[in-house]
Amino acid sequence: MEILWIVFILVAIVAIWAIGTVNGFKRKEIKVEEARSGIEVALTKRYDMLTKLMDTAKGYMTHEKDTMETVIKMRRGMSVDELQQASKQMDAVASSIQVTAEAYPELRSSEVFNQLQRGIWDAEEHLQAARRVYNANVSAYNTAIAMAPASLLAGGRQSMAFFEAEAHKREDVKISF
Amino acid sequence: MAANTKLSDEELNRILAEKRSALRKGIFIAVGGGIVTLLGFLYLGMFAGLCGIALLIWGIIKITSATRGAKNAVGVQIVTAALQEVFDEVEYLPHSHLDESVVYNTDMGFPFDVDKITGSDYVRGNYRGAEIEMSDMRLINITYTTDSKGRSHRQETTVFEGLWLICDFGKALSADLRLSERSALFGKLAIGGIKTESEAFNQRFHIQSQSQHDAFYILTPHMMEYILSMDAKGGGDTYMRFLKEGKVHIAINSGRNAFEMGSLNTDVAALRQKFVGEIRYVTDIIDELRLVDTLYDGSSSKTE
Repeated sequence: MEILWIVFILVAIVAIWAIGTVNGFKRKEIKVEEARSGIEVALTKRYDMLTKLMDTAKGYMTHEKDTMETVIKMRRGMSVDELQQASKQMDAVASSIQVTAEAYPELRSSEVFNQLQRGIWDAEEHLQAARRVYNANVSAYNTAIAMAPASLLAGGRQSMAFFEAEAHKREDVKISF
Repeated sequence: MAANTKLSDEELNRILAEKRSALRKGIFIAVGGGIVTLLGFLYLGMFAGLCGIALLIWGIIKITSATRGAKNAVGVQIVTAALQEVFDEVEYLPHSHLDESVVYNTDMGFPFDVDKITGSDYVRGNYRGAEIEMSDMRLINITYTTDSKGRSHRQETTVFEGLWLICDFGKALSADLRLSERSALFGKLAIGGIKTESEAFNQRFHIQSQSQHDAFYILTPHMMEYILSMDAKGGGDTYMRFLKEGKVHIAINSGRNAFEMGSLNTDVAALRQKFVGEIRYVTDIIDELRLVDTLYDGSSSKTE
């Protein structure tokens, strides 16, 4: 009888641990999804700021505006790869805007233009923060499913990819006034 | 600040020498009094013991008077001059401290209760556009115990002693954030709070904010590196509170007081250098915080 109780308690402990571990995986998955959504929000804000900037510049930046509208398609629920692709494309557009602005001093001296550039810089800082949040949550998730004995319960769960930032990204976006 | 005539270094050194001499006399009298007290109550009789106690008290009064006099006559002059070189519109009150409401109303995440507050060396001024207030603060926890005979005993324990600095940059901050140093015992476990990508930072500080994104937005890699470095130099547990309305509170439980004269076996030049070093520690913190562009809410400004 006593042995039965011991077995029951051991099984209960293992069951509680297993439920807690699986719930932990789920919680981490949700946090990664939330963080991915954060990147989406930051990228959308950057996209909007770039669009406003080009609207302000009007005739100076027709080519950049066309590129933005045809190449970059922001929508809800984008995957990490799609977000990375959109981010790279926006980097190219931002770089192109900078080059164009350098050629037109009257544009660079415009207060509205400068305000929007500051807004873009702020959007980039938020994007950096969102990227770091995402990567921190992915790291926590990947570690959790890899560590023993929790890895026994990971099942078909795969490691998630990080959101990479290109080395040149900060140079492109650092706006000089 | 008391309105004192500005004295030259020679005059200050002379006053310091006088106070040093008075301090030595006080120590001599107090030690002598202590010995007479002991001998009196053991061998010489009650009268001798009482005379010893009187000598001891007189010696302690002379010691206190010498150290306090040195601070008032010499320390205040040197500290005020050093502060005026760095801060604008500076006010220095050596025997005052930050208002107690600052401690009770600013949730710094202290792992202890505070029942009594004392402090000294209150400074208020403007440093390169930032309004600053600071003082040494001593926070005390009071506990009551009952012994086996049912008598209640009150015990005061100092739980915090060090610098409390408030910076107001005149701009709204981007988020509320609280950093409180973890104890050495539980630091390695790093339980609870927001986790950054820096394991060293996570183990050292408990991070709390309304959102993980807000915390990461303010705690850039450079900012985290600076806070770790500031904490190492501070010599004690560091607590930081960023308030969205624009103020940053920094409390460092170093166990040290600023602008203290020490043993008086020093001269004016050495004291000036010491105090300048203490002021520079504070201005370095403010300069570094000012550089963090992500600290400020770009959409609004408290000024105009």
